[in-house]
Amino acid sequence: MNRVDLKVVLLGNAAVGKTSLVERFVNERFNESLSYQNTIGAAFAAKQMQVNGKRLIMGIWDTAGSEKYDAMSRIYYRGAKAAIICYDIIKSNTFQRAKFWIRELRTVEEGCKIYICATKNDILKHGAVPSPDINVVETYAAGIQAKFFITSSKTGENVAELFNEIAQDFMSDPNNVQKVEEVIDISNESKGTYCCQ
Amino acid sequence: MYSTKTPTLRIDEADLKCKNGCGFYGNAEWEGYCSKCYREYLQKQRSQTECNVYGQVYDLASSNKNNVQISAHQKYEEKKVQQEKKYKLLNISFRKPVTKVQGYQELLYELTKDNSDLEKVKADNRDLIAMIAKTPVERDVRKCMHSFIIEILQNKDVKRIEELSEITQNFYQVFAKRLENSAKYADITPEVKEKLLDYVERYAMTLLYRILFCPPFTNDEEKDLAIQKRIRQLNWVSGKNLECRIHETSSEVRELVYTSITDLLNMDSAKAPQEKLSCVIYCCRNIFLMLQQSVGGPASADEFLPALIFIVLKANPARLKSNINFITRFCNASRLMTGEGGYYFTNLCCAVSFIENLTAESLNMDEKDFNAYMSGERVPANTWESALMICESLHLMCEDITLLDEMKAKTTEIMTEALNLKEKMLQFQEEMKSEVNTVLDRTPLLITHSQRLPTNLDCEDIESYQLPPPIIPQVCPTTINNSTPQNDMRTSLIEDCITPSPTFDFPSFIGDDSFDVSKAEDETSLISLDTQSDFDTQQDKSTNELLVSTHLNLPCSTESEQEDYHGFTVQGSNIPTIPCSTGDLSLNTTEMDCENYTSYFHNT
Repeated sequence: MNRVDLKVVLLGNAAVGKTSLVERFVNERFNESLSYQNTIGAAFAAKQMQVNGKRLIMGIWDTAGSEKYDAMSRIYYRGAKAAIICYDIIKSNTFQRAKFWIRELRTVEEGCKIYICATKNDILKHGAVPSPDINVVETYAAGIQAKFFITSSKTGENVAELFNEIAQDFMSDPNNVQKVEEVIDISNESKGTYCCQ
Repeated sequence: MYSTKTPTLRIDEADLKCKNGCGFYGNAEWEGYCSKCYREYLQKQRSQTECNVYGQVYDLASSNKNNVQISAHQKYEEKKVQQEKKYKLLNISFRKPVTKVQGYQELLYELTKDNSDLEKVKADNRDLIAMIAKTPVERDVRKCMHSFIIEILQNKDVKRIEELSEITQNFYQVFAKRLENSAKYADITPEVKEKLLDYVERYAMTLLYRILFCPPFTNDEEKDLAIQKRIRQLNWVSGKNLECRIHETSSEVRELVYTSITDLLNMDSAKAPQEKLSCVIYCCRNIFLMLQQSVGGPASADEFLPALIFIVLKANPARLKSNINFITRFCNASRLMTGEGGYYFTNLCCAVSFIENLTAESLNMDEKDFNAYMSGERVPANTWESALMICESLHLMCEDITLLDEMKAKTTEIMTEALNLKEKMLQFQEEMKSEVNTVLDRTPLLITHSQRLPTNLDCEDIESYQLPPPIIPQVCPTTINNSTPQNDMRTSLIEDCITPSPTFDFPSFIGDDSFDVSKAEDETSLISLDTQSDFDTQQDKSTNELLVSTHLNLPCSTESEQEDYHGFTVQGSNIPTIPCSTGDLSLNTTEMDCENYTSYFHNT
């Protein structure tokens, strides 16, 4: 009731690193006030976050990446406020699939913010070449008004930043904020400091 | 000509006008009225039919009531009939709720009465009910719930299921807001509020389950049957087809498969939507446990969804569509959008949708094969059932193998133990041998003693007689003095010819005894042996410091024996060994004394 839920869907090919990304984010403590909850499976994870002093629970929904489940992926998008679309930084075919999901999302769930996430950045240090080129992805992301992150679940690079950005964006959206403030106002009537700013 | 003729012949222009004569054109579809008049006409007609229907229902309802009520209602009806024409419109709006009230009250009573599930919900929330009992909160909750239930019951035959669902969702929202805003709930903690919301949902849905679950005015039942048939057709689909990583051969995994199937089947027997949802959660958690075993780590959605599809196919839950629809329509929407339950339920919906739209392509197989399997022409070997059968025998084999392994281990253990025992026995033998040897090394000392044993026996006899001893001392001193040098000579001679042998010592020792017994019969042998053994001891003792004592000791026997020996053949067997032994005994003491003295002197 008095909590704010944020649904984030995780899209991407199988073995692209979705699970590792969630594992990295959920099981790593970077702020003592955050409590984390470990689930038996890595398909669903919920994490409590604090943004600008407001509490929200981020539910991360993993989806099956295989093409034979494409028809059902719409069921997952429903009500999602953010979508992380993962692709392998050196595999261009996974980026092509990412584009497909972006198109799907744009038509089905318009209110859903898109975050493109290139995974496995750490392998670039071992001489691998990104494919497609980072600039190409950046231009593409800018073109569709999506945010672009290059992450590595192995080193934890940019993982927390990505999820924090999602939470921040969610909170800064006036529609969501109104909802949040209303709920907080009700739950802490004595405070009541969140008048229209 | 044709064009002008037809209208004049068939329809007059007046016929096209409104029947009411308002001057506007009418329409066949509006029964000859113009649009405005038709609306009025329709309204009039509807009110009339409603009145008629009401009358019938009312009569039926009133006949069930007791006499007092009947008379009251009859009076009321008379009044109503009089007023009917006057307040036509008013009557409609006034009577409509009356009919509904009666209908739903009976229904509500019927639903509440003997509802064990409802009692269970109450029992489960006993603490919560006790907490709010006799407070304004309880009254308000009851009021809200009651008005909601009545609303649903009133509208159940009028509105579509989607609208009922909307009413329900609205009620959840409004009630949640009321919990937050109303002053009545001000001093209740958020946790209790959450519980209250949950309780209200649970109670109301359990109560209304019969009406809202798979209602006859929807096609839920048809869909149930369709999906059931579809799943039955797909019973040949194996885990391999779905590319799900379930190790069917592992007994633990199979156990978990059965548990998750049972959990999913339980969904139909649960009443409240959140109970159904928790069945789905249990099922999915078990699937994750199962995948953990098979994958070896936390499973992701890529592994989970195929496994869930597999479980749904194997479980073929009863009224699957109805259950899913019931949850979607009447579970608190916020629950379905967030949290674990929402995620798993979404996956279940996905799985069902996948099964409905399943094609040969989605199973990565040939179109022809797929059709053959679907029509039941062919049955693949790797169905779950046959896999299970194979599993059973495999399982048995595995058990046998483990049994054999255990037996093998036991056998090797026995073998090593046996070898150990053998070694120990050998060691023991060696030890015994060496011990015996050491004992034997020591025994020569004892032999002198043992040699004296028979004499001891004799000595006892002598002691009893008490007479002979004095005789012996007389014999000995004389012999000692004479024979010492001679005896020395002899011993040295014998030493040369007889090599000392420990093994020889032993039998001679025994022989001593036996010969002792048979002395009377064969004296000669005895004596010869006796001398021999005596010599042996002498040899052993030769190194001994106390040689002097033996020198003192031995002559008495050897000398006497030798004397005996010489005379033996002449004298016969009549001369016993008694004298020697007695002499031995007496000498023993003297010997001891001598020994003591010599050692003493030596020491000094």
